[in-house]
Amino acid sequence: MSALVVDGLKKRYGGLTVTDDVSITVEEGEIHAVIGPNGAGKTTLVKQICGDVAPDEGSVSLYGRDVTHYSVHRRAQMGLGRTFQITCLLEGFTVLENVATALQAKRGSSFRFFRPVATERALNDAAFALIARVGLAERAGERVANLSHGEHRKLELAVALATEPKVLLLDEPLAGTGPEEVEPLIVLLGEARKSVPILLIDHDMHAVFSLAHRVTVLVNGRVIATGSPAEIRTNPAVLEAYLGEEGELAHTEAAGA
Amino acid sequence: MADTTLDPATMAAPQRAGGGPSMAAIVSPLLFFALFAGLPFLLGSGDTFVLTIASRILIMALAAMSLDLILGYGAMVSFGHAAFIGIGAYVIGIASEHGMEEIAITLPMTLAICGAFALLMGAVSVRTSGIQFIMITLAIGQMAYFGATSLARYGGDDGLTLWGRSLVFDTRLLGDTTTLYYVILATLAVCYVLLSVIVASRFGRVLRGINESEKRMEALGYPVDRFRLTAFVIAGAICGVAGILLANLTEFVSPAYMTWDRSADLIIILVIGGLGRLHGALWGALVLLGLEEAIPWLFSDILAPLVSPVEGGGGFGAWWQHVCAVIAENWRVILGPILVLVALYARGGLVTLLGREGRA
Repeated sequence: MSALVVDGLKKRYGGLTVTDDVSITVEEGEIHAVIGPNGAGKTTLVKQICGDVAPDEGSVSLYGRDVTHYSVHRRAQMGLGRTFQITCLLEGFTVLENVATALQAKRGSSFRFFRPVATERALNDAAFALIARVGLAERAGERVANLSHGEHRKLELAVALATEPKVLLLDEPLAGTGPEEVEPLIVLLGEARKSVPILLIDHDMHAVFSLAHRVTVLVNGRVIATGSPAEIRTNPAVLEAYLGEEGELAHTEAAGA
Repeated sequence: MADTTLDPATMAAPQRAGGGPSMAAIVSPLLFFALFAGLPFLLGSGDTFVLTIASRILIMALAAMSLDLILGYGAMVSFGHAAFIGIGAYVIGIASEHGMEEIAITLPMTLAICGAFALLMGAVSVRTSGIQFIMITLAIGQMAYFGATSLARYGGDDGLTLWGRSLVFDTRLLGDTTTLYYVILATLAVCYVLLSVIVASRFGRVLRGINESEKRMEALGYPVDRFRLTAFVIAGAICGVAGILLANLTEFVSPAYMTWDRSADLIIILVIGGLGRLHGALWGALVLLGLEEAIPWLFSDILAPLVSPVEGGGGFGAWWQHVCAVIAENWRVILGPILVLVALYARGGLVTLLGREGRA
């Protein structure tokens, strides 16, 4: 059974069709990347998958269950984990508290009023293990507001993994990271894939082609191609779209060859 | 890096009051409670005037502290919170009118009725935020106020004088003003501990998390509205207890307890003392109600006689006395600038002056 199925999704704002009959599937064990130039409708697509925006037509299913009309938190409870394009963390909390808060959502009721949560050994230890996994162990007691941008991206990933997701939606996880920070993140994403299927939205071509098993290209709200990274690299429609916009793909191809 | 610095237990300590508290968070409430516990000894017997003012300070502190749970920790700016003081007081007043004065019965009644009213107010408001939330809570608070004025049978506009203070297990324990004072102080202390525990619990962490980022908490799978609503009900019920105490202190119940400017007073107390800290409410109430008493006294008894009018009236002296009389009567003229100063220079409230807490 497919982990995530997006089927015939449509969204119009007035006369503008931002999502035009988009269908994508994510199978277990794979990283499926969605790329597209600016304005392709990636953000709106993410919002519809997560439940922030209701589609006009089409459906979203998690492991065979139609969740199109579920709220954001119900989808999350069902196993849809996500990271945000613009970092969205609990700024006043410590790194450890951020991850522990995420773990707490899945482990036992949060309608507990008397026991001090900071002393819950099981939560703290599990949170610390995840923090160590993304390489932030030495920053565990730091407030999020004091972290660097690259550390924010790592923590986003640790928090998303802490929700014990069955599907992980990564919205531009590399956005704004410097060259020296990208490599360790790519390694992390590759490892994460072993435990959870991933839908990766990004326009970092290098990362996408090295990580993804399949790539879907979105242009003007429409899917123009889906296939393996090798197929996508040589797809004439994709080349035209990217050359027309930025020439970024050709550039990456030349650099990677 | 040494392994000793990597103990997860120490790193999970929340930065604000309620978890791994800073020195200020421990010292500040202890100082407050010690001060008020010692007050009757300082006054000597028979001085019920100051003791009554102190009792009012403690009651307002309790009401403001309950508001802090939803405003300071839950970021819900309720402009109708005084309704719960009024409802709590009316439960005592109406029950007393029907011959029921036993606190063992009226306390659970108050908690249930205030909790139910909070459930109603919360159910229509927690989905909203910002100005919408303020308007809804304000409107429902005003409904409670007008509801009370229309209770012709229970005094309507004029309010209702109690037959006497509540019975505690059939004794007139609360009849003595000093005893009532200590009961109020003890109730405040118990509620302070209770709220501190709640804030540091799993539930409290989720509430604080929603305050940090609602979007993030939804994405983690938390039904945000349900947590907010629960906090709203807890706050409403605790505020109802403040109403019980106020009714017993004044032996009088009035719709004036729940006007919207009373709700604003509770917010002012929190802004002065410090939001999201619980003990900020204690100092805020002391400052606000203290100023309410001190400013008129200062201007009419101390400053006004400094310059006496010249024989036959007129001149600077007459003008001076007139100004002092106006300020004494309208003490909020002075409160305004003080609030501005607090907002500008002690942005986390007065308790931040006691020492830096973790809050950035």
